[in-house]
Amino acid sequence: MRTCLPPKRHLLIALLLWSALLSAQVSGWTASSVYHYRNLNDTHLTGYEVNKIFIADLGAFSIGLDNRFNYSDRMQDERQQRLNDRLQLTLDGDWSNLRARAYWREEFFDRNFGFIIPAGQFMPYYEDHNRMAGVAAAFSQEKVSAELSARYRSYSFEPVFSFSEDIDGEDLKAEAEVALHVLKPVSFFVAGSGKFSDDTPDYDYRTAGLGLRLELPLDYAKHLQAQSRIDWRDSDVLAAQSSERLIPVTHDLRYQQMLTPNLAGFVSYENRCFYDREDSEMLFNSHFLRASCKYSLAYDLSNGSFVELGGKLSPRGKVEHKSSAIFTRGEMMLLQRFYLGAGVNLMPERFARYSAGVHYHLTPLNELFLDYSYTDDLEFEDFSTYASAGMRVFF
Amino acid sequence: MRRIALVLLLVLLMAVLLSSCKKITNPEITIDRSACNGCGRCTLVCPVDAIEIDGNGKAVIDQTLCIQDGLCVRACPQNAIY
Repeated sequence: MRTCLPPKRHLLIALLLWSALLSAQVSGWTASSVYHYRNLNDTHLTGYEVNKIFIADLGAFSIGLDNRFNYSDRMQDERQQRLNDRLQLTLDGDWSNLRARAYWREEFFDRNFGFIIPAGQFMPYYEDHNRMAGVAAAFSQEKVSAELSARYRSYSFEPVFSFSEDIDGEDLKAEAEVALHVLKPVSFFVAGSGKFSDDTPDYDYRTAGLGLRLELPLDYAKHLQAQSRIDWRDSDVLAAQSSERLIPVTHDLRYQQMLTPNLAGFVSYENRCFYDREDSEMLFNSHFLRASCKYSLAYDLSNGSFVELGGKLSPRGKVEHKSSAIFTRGEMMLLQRFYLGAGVNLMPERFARYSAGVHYHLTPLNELFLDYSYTDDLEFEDFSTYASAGMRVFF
Repeated sequence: MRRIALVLLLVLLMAVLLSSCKKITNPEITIDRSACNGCGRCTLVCPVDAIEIDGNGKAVIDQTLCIQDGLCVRACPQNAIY
C-alpha cells in the first residue's frame, strides 16, 4: 500500500514549520474554514476546506507558510477523491531593485484519480504525492530588467491497473526573460523556457521568444499596456501534432481608466495567431475581447458595497471551446456589518450560473458567510447546486 | 500628442497583423494571466495534470500535456481561460 494522507512525516514537518514561524515576528495570518454541499447528477457530495496562511516580516525578508486542506466525500472505485493537503513555505526578499523568492511545496493526496499519457497513451492513475521546490528572482534598473525562475518537481503515481508498476518521476522547468528599456515607454525583450525530464523526455520542450512591450500611464487615471511577441517551440510531442512548425504570434492590449472616484473599468484584447513555416501563412488560433467596470456605492465607506459588470467575447466560429461570457456580481450593505451578495455568470451554450450569499462582518476583515449557487449545464443538459458556509479570519 | 500618435501607430500595426490571420487552426487553450487569481480550480479538474500554479501564484498550461477537453474553461470562476 502506498502512503495515505496525511502521513506522520508530513504532519511533523508542518508542526515544526508552524512552531518556527510562531517564534518569529508574525505580522499577520489568515484562516478560513468552509463546509460545502454539492448536488450533481443526483449525487450528493459534502466537503470541507481549511486554509491557513501565516506571514512573518523579518525586515528585507518575509517568510510565508500556506496550508490548504481539502476534503470531499466523493468516491471513485471505493477510494476517496478530493482529499489532499498542500503545504507551502515561501521565503521572499525585497531590496531596492531586486526581488527574490524561494519556495518549497509538498502536496499529498489520497489517491486522486486522473490520467497520465506516457508514450501518447492514456493510463488511469491515482496520484500519491507531488513535491516542488523553486526559486524566482526579478531584477530591475533604468535600462534593463530581468526575471528568472526555476522549479524542480517530484511526483508519485499509482496506476489503477495492477499489472502496471508505480511511477515515481521528476522534472525541471526554467524560464528567463531580459528586457531592455532603450526607448521608453517601449521596451524590447527576449525570453526562453524549458521543461526537462529523465522519465518522460517525449514531453520535454524548449521555447525562445522575443517581443516589444509598451507601458504607458497616460495620466493618474488612465493606463495603457500593449505587447507583441513571437515564440519558437521545440518539442517531440508538438512535432507529432504538427504544431512545431507553427510559430505562435501573440498580441495583447489593455486599457484601464478610473472614470470617477467610484467608477473604474478596463478593456483588454488578446490575439493569438500562428505562423505556418511550411505554407508561409498566418493562421488564426484564438482571441478574446474582455471589458469590465466596477461601481462602488458611496454610502459604504469601507468600499464593501459594489456592482460589477463584465463580458468576454471569444468567438471561434464552429471550433470547440467557445468561451464567451457575460458576468455580473454585486454586494450591498443592508444593515450595519450585514451584506447581501448576488451574481450571474452566463457562458452561452455551456452553462448559466446564478449565485447569492449573505456575509456578516464581525470586524472589517473578519466575516461569517453563507453562499449558494445553482448551475444550469446547457452543454450536458444537467444542473448542479452548491451551498457553502464558513468563516474567514484575518489577524 | 506624441503619445497618442504612438498608440495609434501601435493599434494600426496590430490591425494590419491581425487582418492576415484568417484560417482557423486547431485551438490551444490559454490563460489570461491578468485575470487569473490563482485559485487552482483548473488544476483540480484537469484530468491529465497539465496545469500548475507557478511561483507567482498564476496558473500555467503545459501545451505538451493538454488534451484540450475544455474542462478548465468551464471551471474557471474568473473566466480567465479561453
